[in-house]
Amino acid sequence: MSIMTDVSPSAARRRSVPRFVWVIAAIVALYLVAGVITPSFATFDNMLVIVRAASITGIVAIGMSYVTISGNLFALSAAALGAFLAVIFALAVGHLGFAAGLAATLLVAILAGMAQGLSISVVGNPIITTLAFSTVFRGLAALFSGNSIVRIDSDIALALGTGRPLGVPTQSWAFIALALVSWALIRRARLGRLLVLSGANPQTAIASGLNVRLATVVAFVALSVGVAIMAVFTVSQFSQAKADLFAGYDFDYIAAVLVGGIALRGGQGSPLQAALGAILIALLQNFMLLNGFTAGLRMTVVGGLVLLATGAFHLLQRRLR
Amino acid sequence: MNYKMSLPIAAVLLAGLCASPALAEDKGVIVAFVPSSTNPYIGQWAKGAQAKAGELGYTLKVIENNFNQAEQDSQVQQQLASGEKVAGYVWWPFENAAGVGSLRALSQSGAPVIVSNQYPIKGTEAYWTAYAGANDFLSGKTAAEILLDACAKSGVKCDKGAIIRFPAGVSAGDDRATGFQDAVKGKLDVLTVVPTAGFLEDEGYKVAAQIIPANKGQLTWLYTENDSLAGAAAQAARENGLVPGKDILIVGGTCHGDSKHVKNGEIAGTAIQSGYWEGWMAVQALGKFNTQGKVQDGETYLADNPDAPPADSDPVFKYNFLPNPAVGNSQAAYDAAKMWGKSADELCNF
Repeated sequence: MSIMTDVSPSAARRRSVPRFVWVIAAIVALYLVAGVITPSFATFDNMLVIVRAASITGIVAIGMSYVTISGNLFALSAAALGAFLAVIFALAVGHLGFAAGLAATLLVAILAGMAQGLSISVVGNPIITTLAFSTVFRGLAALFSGNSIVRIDSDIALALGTGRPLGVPTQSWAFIALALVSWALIRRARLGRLLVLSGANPQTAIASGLNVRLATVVAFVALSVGVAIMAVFTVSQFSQAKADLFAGYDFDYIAAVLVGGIALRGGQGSPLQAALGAILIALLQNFMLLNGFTAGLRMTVVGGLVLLATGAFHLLQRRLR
Repeated sequence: MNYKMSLPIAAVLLAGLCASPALAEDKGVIVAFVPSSTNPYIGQWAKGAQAKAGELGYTLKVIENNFNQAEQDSQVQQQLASGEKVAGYVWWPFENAAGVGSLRALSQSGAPVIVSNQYPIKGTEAYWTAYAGANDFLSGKTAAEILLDACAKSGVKCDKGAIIRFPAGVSAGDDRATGFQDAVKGKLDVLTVVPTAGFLEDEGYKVAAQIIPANKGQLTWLYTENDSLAGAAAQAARENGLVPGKDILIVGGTCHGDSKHVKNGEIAGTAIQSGYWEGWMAVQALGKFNTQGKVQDGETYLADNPDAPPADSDPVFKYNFLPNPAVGNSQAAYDAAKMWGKSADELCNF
C-alpha cells in the first residue's frame, strides 16, 4: 500500500479516479460552462487574470496543505501572520534595503512557524493555538507599524511585485514553482514522508520512532514561509504595508485546501491539490464577478462549494473503504 | 489610623489635588467606541480625538472593537454597567444598523452622545445629540465633480464606466456610491457596480484586474470610493495596456493610502477626508455641547479654512460635516493643499 493513503489494497485497486482528477475535471467543466455563458471569460487575458488571482491565495494554501497533511487540521493565523510579516518586510526594507528586508522577513517567518509548531506540540490543539497566535501577530503588526501605513521606496521590490516575465506575473511564477517544489518535497523527500506518516496515524508514527513533533514544526515553518512569500509580493506590488492587511483571508486559504480534496484528518493529499483548489475558487470568483454577483452571493457560493467538496470527498472515501 | 494622623494626611492629599494643574482642569472622561485602530484611518481618528480632548481638558478613553458589532455591543454594556460618570460618549458603530440598540442604551444613560463617521440612520435622531463627521454623500459628489472636470479637460471621451465600491453592508460605501451616481446621472453611464472585500490596495487590485480586461474597450472611467483602491485600479489598468489619465480616468475621491498616483496624474484628483480632523471635530462637538448646552437644528459644513481649524465658540448643529476640499492631480497642487493648518501630506499619508 502506498504511504500516501490508508485505504485497503482492495479499495486501492477499486479506486480509479484520484481526488486531484476530480478537481481538474471541475476546473475544466467550470471553464467550459463559464466560457459559453460569459464571452469575456474564456480569453487568454482573463486566464492570466485568474491565475494571478489564484496565485496569492494559492501560495499560502500550498503552505497550509503541509499543516493539513501533517494531521494538524489548519491554521487560523495565516492572515494575521501575513500582516505582521508585511510590516516587518516594509520596515526592514526601509531601514536596511531589499536583501536584508527579505532575509529578516524569512527569519521572522521561520521563528513564527517554529513557535506555532512547538506550541501546538505542547497545547495539542492547532485551532485554539493558531487562533491565539493570530491575535498576537495582528497585535504585533499594529505595534510595529504604529497603526500607520509603512511605505517602501525600492525599485527591486517594485520590479518583483509588478514584473511579468514572459507576460506572466511574478506571483504566478512563484505559485507554479512553489506548487511543484512542494509536490516533490511531499512525495519524494524523506521529510515529506515524515509529514504524511505523522498525519496518517500519529500514534503509529510515534511507536515507529518518528518525530511527530518535528513534523508539526516543519509543517508550520512551511506555512510561515508561504505566508512570507505572499507578504513580500503584496508589499512589493503596492510599496506599502498596514496592520490590517489580509484581514478575512484565512477562509480563502483553508477553502483552497478543502476544495482541492486534501483530507482534513491528515496523511493524504499533496500541495498540488491545494494549488488546484485555489485555481478552482479563483475561476468561480472570476465568473461571478464578471456576471455581477453581489459580494454576499459570492461568499455564499464559495462557502457552498467548500461544503459540497468536503461532503463529496467524504462520501467518496467511505465508498472506497 | 487615628484621627490625629489622618487629618494632616487628608490635608496634604487635598493640597496636592488642588496644586495639580492637570487634575484641576479635568472636565471628565469622554468614552469613544470605535473599530480597531489597526485600520490606519481609525488610528488617525483616535489621534485627532486625543489631541482635541487633551486641549479641552477632557480625558479620552478609546474602546476599540475588532471590527465586530457584537463585541462593540458588549463593550457598551460593560461600560454602562461600570456606572462610570462620563462627560459624554462618541459613537462610531462598526455596523451602523446593527448598532442601533447600543446607541439607544448609551443615550438612555443621560450623557450626550456624538455619532461620528457613520451617517446616522433615519429615525434614530432621539438617540444621539449630534453627528460630527464625514459626509459620504458629499464625498461621492466631490469625486463625481473631479471626474467630470477631468473628462472636460483631458479630452477623454467619458461615457461608460464602473464603480468599485466598499464591501456590501458598509454604509459609507452605499452613501458614496449614491452621491456619485446622483451627481453623474445623465452625464455618465454606469456599466457595473462591483463591491470589494476590503478597503485596501490588495482588494482593489483583485477586482480591478478582473473587470478591466473583461470590459476592455468599454470602460472610460472608474470610481473607487478611496485612493487606495484607485491606486490599485491604476496599476491594473496599466497592466492591461491602458494609460490612466489618457485611456481611462480613475478617481478615488478620498485621499487614503499612497498619494503617488495622485501626484503623478494617474488618478484624476482627490479630496481630503482626514481621519485626524474627523476625530478632532467629534470631540470638539461634544465639548461645544457641554459648554453651550444646546444643539441647533439643521446641518453645517465646517469651513475648509486651509490655515486654522474651526473655533470652539461656534454653535454645534444636529449634523456637523467635515469638509472635503478637492486636490488637483499634480505634485504642485498636492504640496499646496492644506486643511485647518495641516498639509495634505500630513493628513493623507498616515
